[in-house]
Amino acid sequence: MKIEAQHKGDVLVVKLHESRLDSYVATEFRDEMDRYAKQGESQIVLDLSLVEFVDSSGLGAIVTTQKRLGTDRDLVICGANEPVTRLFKLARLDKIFQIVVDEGEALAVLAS
Amino acid sequence: MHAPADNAPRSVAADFTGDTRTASRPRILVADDSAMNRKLLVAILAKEEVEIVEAVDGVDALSKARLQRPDLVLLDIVMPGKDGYEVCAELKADPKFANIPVIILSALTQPADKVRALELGAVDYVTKPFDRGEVLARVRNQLQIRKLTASLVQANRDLVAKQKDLDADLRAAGDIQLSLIPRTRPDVPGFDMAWRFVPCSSVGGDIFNVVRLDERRLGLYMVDVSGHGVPAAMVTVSVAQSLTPQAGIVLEPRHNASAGDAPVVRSPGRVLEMLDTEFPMERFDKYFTMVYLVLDVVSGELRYCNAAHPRPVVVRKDGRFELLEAGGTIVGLGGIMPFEEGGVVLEPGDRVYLFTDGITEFADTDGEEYGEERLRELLASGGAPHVQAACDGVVDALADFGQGARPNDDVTITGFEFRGPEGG
Repeated sequence: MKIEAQHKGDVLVVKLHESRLDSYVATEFRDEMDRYAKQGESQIVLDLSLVEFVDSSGLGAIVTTQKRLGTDRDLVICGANEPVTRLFKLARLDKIFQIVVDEGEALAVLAS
Repeated sequence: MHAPADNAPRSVAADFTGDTRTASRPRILVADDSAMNRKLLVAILAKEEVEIVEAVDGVDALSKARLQRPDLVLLDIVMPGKDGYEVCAELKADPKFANIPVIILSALTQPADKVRALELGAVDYVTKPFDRGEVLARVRNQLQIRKLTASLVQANRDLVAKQKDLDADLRAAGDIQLSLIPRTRPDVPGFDMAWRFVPCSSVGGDIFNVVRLDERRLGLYMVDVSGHGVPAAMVTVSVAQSLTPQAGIVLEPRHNASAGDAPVVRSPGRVLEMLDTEFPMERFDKYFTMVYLVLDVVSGELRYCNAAHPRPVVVRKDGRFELLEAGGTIVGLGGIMPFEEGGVVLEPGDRVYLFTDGITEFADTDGEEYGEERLRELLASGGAPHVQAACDGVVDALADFGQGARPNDDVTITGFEFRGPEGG
């Protein structure tokens, strides 16, 4: 699994360089996100612009990250394509974390 | 390579052929009618850690190859009786011996002879007079290949055995899943229920069932646990267990049961809240979507809660439809969001269908999904005389739509018709 994380101010922007976030990479992805949560990141932007497909394991990994961060820390998702956005909406997760168009919007949301 | 310095006992592999070669020592059959050539080859191979068997002509070579199953044959071409070509061809024609590598040894140096030998299945060719280095290199090569092949074959055997175990586990998981769905239609006046359940080969996590809550009310649920296979099946067992009337979730036990107090039917929203606490995602690394509804079979009143499950469709008698969407997110997030509850009142003749995303997300060979809309239209079209026909119709429509595409998730639909107190 290839993942790229860089700080932009106080925000950690995590970009997944995989076309599928499915059961093959979900565990590794979750562990990596877990590491960011443990190292005390308080604002994480997850950029899914290179991801074409997310399955239930992938969704579970993202939700687990949100749970690890708790209510006082933020996870914003950006760059999700239409089917992936639809999946979040079907699971009504769009009410749990913010889903925005791109990194710029994500950083703006977190800054406000 | 050299012989080991100690005289430690070797493990001896013996099978029904009477094969008693030492396991670590490859056996080489040297077939040449010239005693001098055989002596020369034995001398060349003397320092190799091999066992040598000699054959004096073609017939002898064949019988020794069959009896002693060498790991390699060094085969002379020109021999009395059967020549090397014949020996090679006969060995290669028998599946039991076809995989023994044959190196041809001959004074014949014409390319056509080499081609013929290779075409008969020989793996290599050495011309006389022998060069010691060349013979050793070619022999070592073939023995190395043979060894690697053997380890590949063994690895493959192990894999096949493991796969068999996994398949057996998967079948067991499938049986478990089947045991969690109703076996027979519930015999409840005013209520006609039917279903179709087509489990996928990798065992999805779909289950559904109906439980009697009190003399008027039924609890119906459909659950889709994330993931596939044994882990998903195990979670379905646990969820189904929690939803039995005696487990204390769908019915709230009364403290004073002995005084005749009937248990209280829990509302769907509350039931999902309890499951959400009971099955935190961290516990099994699984979550599930679910619809739970409570139907009063006398009044037609239906209360429900939908936890991110595909929305059940209410088809009114006149063909209008409504979607049951009140609810919350997936079960397992530990109270991150409240579970809202919705309600509708059914009239006699109204039907309700519950299904999983194995239907709406079923894709044809081009990847196009069947979709909620197509399903809704089919269910509302009113062609089916009863709910069983409607459920069958959905499975048939999927097969038509898929054009041979195989579902990669369980295909599950259940429906019921409310007939009312008069219509039972």
